[in-house]
Amino acid sequence: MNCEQASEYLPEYWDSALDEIPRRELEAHLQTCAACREEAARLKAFWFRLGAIPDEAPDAASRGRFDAMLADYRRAVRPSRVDRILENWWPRRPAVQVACAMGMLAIGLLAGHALTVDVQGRGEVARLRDEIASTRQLVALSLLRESSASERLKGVDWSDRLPHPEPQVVNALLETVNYDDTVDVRLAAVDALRRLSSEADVQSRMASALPVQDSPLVQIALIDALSDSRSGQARDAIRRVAELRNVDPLVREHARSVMERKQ
Amino acid sequence: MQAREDHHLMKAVRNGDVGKLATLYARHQRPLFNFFLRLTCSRPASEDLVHDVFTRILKYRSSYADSENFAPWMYRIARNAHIEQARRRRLEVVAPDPATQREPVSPEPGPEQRAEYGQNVALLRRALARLPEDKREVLVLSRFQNLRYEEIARILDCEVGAVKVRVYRAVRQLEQIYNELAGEKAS
Repeated sequence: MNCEQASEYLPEYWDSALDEIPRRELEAHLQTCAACREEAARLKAFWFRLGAIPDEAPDAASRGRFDAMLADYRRAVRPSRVDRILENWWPRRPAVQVACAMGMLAIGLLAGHALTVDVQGRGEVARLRDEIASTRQLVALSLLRESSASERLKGVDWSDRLPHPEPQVVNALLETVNYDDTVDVRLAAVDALRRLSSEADVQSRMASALPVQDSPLVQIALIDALSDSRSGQARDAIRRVAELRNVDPLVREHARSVMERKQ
Repeated sequence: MQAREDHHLMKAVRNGDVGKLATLYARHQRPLFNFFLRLTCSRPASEDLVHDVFTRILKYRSSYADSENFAPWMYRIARNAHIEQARRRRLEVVAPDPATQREPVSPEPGPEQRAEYGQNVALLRRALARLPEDKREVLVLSRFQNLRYEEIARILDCEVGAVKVRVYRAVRQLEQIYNELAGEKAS
């Protein structure tokens, strides 16, 4: 064993965690090399001196913050009261379900036939709806271009509420995923694009963004969004990331587990 | 023993029993807080990072594989959280904040001994804060977090041999910084 190899084993030697063979070799080297012996003794004393830095207790309030976060998460995933009522009320036997559905359809048809609808009024309502939708698109676009991250987050939220986002809004969301400085905004944009991940253009640009993202969190969110689609393009993009060496190990493992689930 | 229990708890969290995360939090909050405190020298930043790590664990629980060990997996998340936070806030670790400069209580509370012990700890903290970030990280993981070198290698995504060399170099440089600071104080 030479001096360089000996230095590699020293921290484990101080902690008595070194295996027997390298320990014997190290001790033999230390007996013959005065410089290493002196340095090993000096650094060992310092290594143990480091133990004087005491642990500190976190603030008691942080436990409350964690409990609140966990409670929020549970509330978010628990079915709502309306869902639970519907679940209990809705008949379980398929024949009864079909009968109920047919009855409701008949009621709907009769009610529709019976109601007199003003065609002109309906046209105005449709025009107003279009105008509101168009205004929402503009608000979403303008917020996405704001310099403040919280305003851009609002923009993503607005775009997520649009039933049919226009191509400019979709394009702005994709650019947010690629170029926004803030990880939270990029994550929100990926979530908003998730419902559109079956569209070929969106899918293609998400697949291109995946290997070049610098945030592992955004990469994992992109993998989840792409995994919703059954296309070969999405699968290829996830597989490529699973094989890349220069991505974060967590991302690589997540890509692998998604690939395994899909097989 | 605890590693195996942690693994079962995290698998339960992954499978939907998210209440088990409270047990993992109770076990790992303090070591994780001290890990961040030694890296950032800031109590508020360390509190936020611990919260961030457990939020991420909940959000990405499905990525926890059966072959994982909980602690190294958690420290990989912790490392990413710290890197992202430092990048976002351009957090510069130069001087420890006053909150971390509280004098610790000596085990032998004679006034002189206590003063000397407190000075030594303050000097060690200052030296640690001056160590380059990559070296501080590997040193904290190996000296304070009770992790094996194989686990540290997985956290840092490098070879075990590289971890050993980095630890040795880090402790050597830290000793030099400590001696320089002690010399400045004496002169």
